[in-house]
Amino acid sequence: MAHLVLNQLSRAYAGRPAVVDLSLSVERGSLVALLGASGCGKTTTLRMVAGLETPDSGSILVDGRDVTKLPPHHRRMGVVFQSYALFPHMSAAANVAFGMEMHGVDRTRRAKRGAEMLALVGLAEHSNKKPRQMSGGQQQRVALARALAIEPDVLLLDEPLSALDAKLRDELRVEMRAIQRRVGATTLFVTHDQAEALAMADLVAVMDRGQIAQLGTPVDVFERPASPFVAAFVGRSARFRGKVAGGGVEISGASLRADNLPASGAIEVFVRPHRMQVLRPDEGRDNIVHGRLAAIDYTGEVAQLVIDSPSGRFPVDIATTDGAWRELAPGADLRVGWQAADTLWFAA
Amino acid sequence: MKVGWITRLLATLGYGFLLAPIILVCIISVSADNYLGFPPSSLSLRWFVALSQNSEMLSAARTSLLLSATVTLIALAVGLPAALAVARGWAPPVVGLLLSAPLLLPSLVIGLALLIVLQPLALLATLPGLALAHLVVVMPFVVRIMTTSLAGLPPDLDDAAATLGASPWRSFWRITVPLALPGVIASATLAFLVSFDEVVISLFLVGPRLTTLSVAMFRYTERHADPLVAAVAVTLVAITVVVVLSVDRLVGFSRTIGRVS
Amino acid sequence: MVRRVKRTGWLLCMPGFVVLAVAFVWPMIILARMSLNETADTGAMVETFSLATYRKLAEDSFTWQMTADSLLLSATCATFALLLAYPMALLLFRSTSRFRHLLAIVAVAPLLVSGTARVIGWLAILGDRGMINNILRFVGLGVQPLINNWTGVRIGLTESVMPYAMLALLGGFGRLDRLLEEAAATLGAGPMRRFWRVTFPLTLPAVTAAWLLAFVLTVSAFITPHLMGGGRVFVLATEIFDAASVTLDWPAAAALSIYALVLLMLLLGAQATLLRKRRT
Repeated sequence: MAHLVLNQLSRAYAGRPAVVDLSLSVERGSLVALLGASGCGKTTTLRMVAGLETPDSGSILVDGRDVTKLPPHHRRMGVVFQSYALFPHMSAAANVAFGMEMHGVDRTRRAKRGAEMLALVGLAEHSNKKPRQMSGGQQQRVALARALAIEPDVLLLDEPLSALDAKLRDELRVEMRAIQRRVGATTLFVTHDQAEALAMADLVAVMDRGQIAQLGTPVDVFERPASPFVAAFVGRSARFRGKVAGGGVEISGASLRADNLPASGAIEVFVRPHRMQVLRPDEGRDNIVHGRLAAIDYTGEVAQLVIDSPSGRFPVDIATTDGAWRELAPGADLRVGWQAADTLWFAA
Repeated sequence: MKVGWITRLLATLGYGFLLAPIILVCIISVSADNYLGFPPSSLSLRWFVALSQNSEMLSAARTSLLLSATVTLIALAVGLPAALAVARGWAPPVVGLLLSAPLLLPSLVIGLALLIVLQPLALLATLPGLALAHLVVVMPFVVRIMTTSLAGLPPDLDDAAATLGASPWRSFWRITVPLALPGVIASATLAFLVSFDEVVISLFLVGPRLTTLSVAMFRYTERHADPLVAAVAVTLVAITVVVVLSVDRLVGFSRTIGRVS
Repeated sequence: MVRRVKRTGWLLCMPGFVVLAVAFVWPMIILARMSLNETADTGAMVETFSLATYRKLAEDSFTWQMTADSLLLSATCATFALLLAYPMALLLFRSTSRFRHLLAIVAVAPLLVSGTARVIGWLAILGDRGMINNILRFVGLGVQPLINNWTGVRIGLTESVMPYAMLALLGGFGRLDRLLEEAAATLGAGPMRRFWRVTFPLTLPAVTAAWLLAFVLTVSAFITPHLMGGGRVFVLATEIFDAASVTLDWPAAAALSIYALVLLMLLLGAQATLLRKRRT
């Protein structure tokens, strides 16, 4: 049986549903990310697991034991809050020791394990500092050490990296994942940042209006989105609307090929910008759309093109490795092509 | 942005007008004259000496100290729980407004109302009567400052303590109380000062048997036009400044008050 | 769990409510009841249930004169307090000096000095042997009566509400972005236009709030009119006090109090409606 099981959880605020019939299982030691826009119910879900919110219905099981009615201080779940919620009047060491004290760990063991935890997050030198004397990244590590110090059954991370700047975020992402693997904590991770979710999680649960829109591996969620919502929310896309006709999808100005198309009906097509190429005159592809280059933005690794076509404006990313992008200028007429296998479609 | 000379000039004028009476009080407190005038014909400490021998002022000062200390303690005991309830959202915000309602009414009217109620109960010119009256105007300050101070505590701390295994009771003593302490000290200081300075309501409720220092100063000014009250005021200001500065050194008074305004 | 929290909340507020009920609500009810009693010509109070006391007040032209005087005094003092305090608040807002903090504290520090003491200070400035009259005497202009009349009351009252006006103004300026004036400057606005087109309109709500606060406080002020007026200045507050403590006519004092409260409420109500209209 899975280590953490959420069973048909629901929670409404003043009649407005925040989480609806949500079920999820997390295997021991794995990391599941709840990915969604703000207001999708991901934080409410996490707070219900922590015991900080009471579900209107449904249950939460840890190791098969029902903890739904347990108050938070009896759940032994390590939580890293978005604001870190470090106790400002306590040193880093005292923050880390607090939970152990509450669980009756004696003073000597508290000091020893506290030092271990601070060393684990690379803050052995800073144990006597107060939170306000530390940088954002250091505070984040103290929060993680504090949550891990109580040897939690489950680790809950609520947007733990969102308050940090981009570069530090990337560093800590790698570090946190390594620490989580090392201690083997079953982890539920809430984020609105898809790169974070894809990079860190074993499984990603994409949330929409209080429900899980898709649960899958990062590759599944990105390459094989289960719904137009997931396709649109995770990653960027070129989107075309059309109708199935003659074994292909008719859009204005082109007919597209795709795998496993139905016999008829209205269809929405998604193509990832990096799966498309600007074609040389002699080149061919399964699908080809003609368009005019509206803008080109150099972002380093790729150049992002904006293309106007009869079926609408869409983005195309081309690698900058070969320098071919330099020859493109706004106003140029282009042929853009991709393979049938890269064509995602949903019945509209 | 640089401050233009017109602004500077007008602001200096404003400061001059605002501070003139206080500066004058300081000067005439060391005047040797027995009338209120400027410039003093010569300087002396005779009015401080007179103050130290004025039994009426001294006994009023003792009454005021006792009264204000009592009122401060009761106001904290009554106001803190309410502030906690409002700041935590256990009681609706309107409770805070309700408890500060007495500040909306002229204290003259409150004084008159209390006079009418306390007289038949033989509570005029008694400590309990005065304490009750002061409580009405002091409590709002405690509730307001403490509500802001408690609501200003970093969010999630109680949640964090709970997830770390602390029961609500332990979380209150280990997290909330230590963090709220500066606010408590600040509001106690302000409560004491407001009570000590209160004059209009007290005016209705004191009597020959028992009077407060601020009322004694008022009554004295009605009858005499000499610098004795200036000496009292300077003494009080000196004590106030020392107290406020040491409290500020201790807990950051201006920061706590600043958050309120 | 939610219900238990609710109950705890009310329980924590209980002591405060008890104090409020015993020492505020109940006395105010008794005050209102007292205003419905009558005072006989002998000066004895008659327990009754009539509007006779109010009628007596309404028929006395002195009541109306005094009301007009009180409101005019308050409006004058509130306006002068604002005129004097606004440049101070503007200075504190614009200044980058390291004494800024100190100057802000000094501006509200008079609140820590007893009102009586500040009156003493004014007496030493405005009295017959005070600073100003000594100067006037020196330049040969003779002594001007500056205390025990309306002039003295106006000056003292203006000063006494200035710190409160400052608090309200500083609150308003505090919400103002210091970059706005710089932005206006980069757009080509000179100092005068920066002030009148950007800063002043944005601080107007604070100005209104400060004026109103000063007005309400001066209407209910008693110490300054009593001491600076020398018994020759009659306003609502001094009348209420005299009726209560000198002539011992409690019904009249109570009726005047209720009258003053209604007056204040009407003014605040009118102002609130005006503000709402302007916003829509």
